[in-house]
Amino acid sequence: MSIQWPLLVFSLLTGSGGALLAFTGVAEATGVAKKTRNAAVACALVLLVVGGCASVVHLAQPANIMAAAANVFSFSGISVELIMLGVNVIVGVAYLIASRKEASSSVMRGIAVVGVIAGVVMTFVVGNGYVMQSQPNWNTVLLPLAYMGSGLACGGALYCAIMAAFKEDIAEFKLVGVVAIVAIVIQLAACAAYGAVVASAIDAALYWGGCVGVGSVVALACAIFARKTPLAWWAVFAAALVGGIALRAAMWLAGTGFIDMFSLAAGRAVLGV
Amino acid sequence: MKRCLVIDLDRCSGCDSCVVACKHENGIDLGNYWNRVVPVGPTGTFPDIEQYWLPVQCQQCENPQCVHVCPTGASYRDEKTGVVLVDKDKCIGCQYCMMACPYGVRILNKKTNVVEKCTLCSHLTADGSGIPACVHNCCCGARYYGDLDDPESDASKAVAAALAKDSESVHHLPDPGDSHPATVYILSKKTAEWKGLV
Repeated sequence: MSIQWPLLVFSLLTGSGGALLAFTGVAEATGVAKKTRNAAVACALVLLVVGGCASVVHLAQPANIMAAAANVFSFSGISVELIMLGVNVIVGVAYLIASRKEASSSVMRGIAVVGVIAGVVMTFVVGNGYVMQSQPNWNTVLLPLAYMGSGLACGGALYCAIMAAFKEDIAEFKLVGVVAIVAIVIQLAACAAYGAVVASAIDAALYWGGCVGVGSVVALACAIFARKTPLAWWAVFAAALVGGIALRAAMWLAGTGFIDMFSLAAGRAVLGV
Repeated sequence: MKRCLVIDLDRCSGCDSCVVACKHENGIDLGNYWNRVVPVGPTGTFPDIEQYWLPVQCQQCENPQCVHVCPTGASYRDEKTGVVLVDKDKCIGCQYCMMACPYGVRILNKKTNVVEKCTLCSHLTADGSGIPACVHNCCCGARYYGDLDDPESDASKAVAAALAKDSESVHHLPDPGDSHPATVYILSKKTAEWKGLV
């Protein structure tokens, strides 16, 4: 199957946006990186909205998204993605309003906890819609787990990069930085496990080089370096982004289907059409 | 009710009449298909070689995966007939059904931007009077249409006759999970060994 770029962009941006919201929740709940939080939530909202718009491009007519929205409770893979997209946007907007109105710390922490849950679920569901029995190379829970790892790694790195841009004190990075490194380790483990399961079907250079090598190993090395030089979090984010693109591209290229009868017939026809 | 096709591969000559009849009856554009014929083989070593032709179209699964993933309910299984259909007014062209179909027998019509597939000529057969164009025009008499839950239907009689002659001659396409494809293929060993995953 060819790479469906609108869907690749959708899952990468919305997964990263959800994870960014989750990392803001972690920072809020632990009381660190105060200067960064609102900017990170605003950035998460942009990612979620732009990602959502990218998915619309995949449809035959962009206006058709209204039909999908009207049937949002069909609970198909697409519907669950839409629901979680809406939940994440609502939580992000609620956070910004509560922050602007200087809501009590218990309210802010409540929103933060909901943000962590909604954000992590978002990273998972953008991959879960592809788990289907007709696609043997996608039909494993390791695929959405790899998507989750990718989203968390991108979101965590981006949160730390925004912290660096806001010149947060290096002590503020201690907890969030460790959580971001844990996210990269989760990505490494999940992607390695998924890659091992579909090893024979996947583009080895793209997957092991791009997704695992650059996206996880290089990102991890940069993240360790970034603990003393916070601006290096931008390099971590760039590496995680490359890994996220490689993961998704390799998945689409490995989507051969169970039996593609019409392609088989065309391939064996006298004129090959 | 479980309306579907029964295709006798012992009789199919791979002439593509079913493909032409389908395109003509349903006005399918050049380059698009709702059914095709897959050559299987030849296999073996001369002079002991064998080959058969496998006509493929929507298998009218009893538990269709295309229906489960459809976000708008455009893909549905008509409970009255058991036929899997697409409501073109509801289809948004997201193509998830094409990814979910285990057999790759759905297409996106790029002119109308909706997904299409074999309907078992529902415009002819919905009221129970007609038969699909591919069945009507099969010059080898290899295609049967009817309700497999009705023992008096042409489809059920063809399956019963095949089973009476050879209990191992009735096949379905391999099922990747619990799709339960309804379409039946008859192929006896005197013609060729059933290859399954072709």
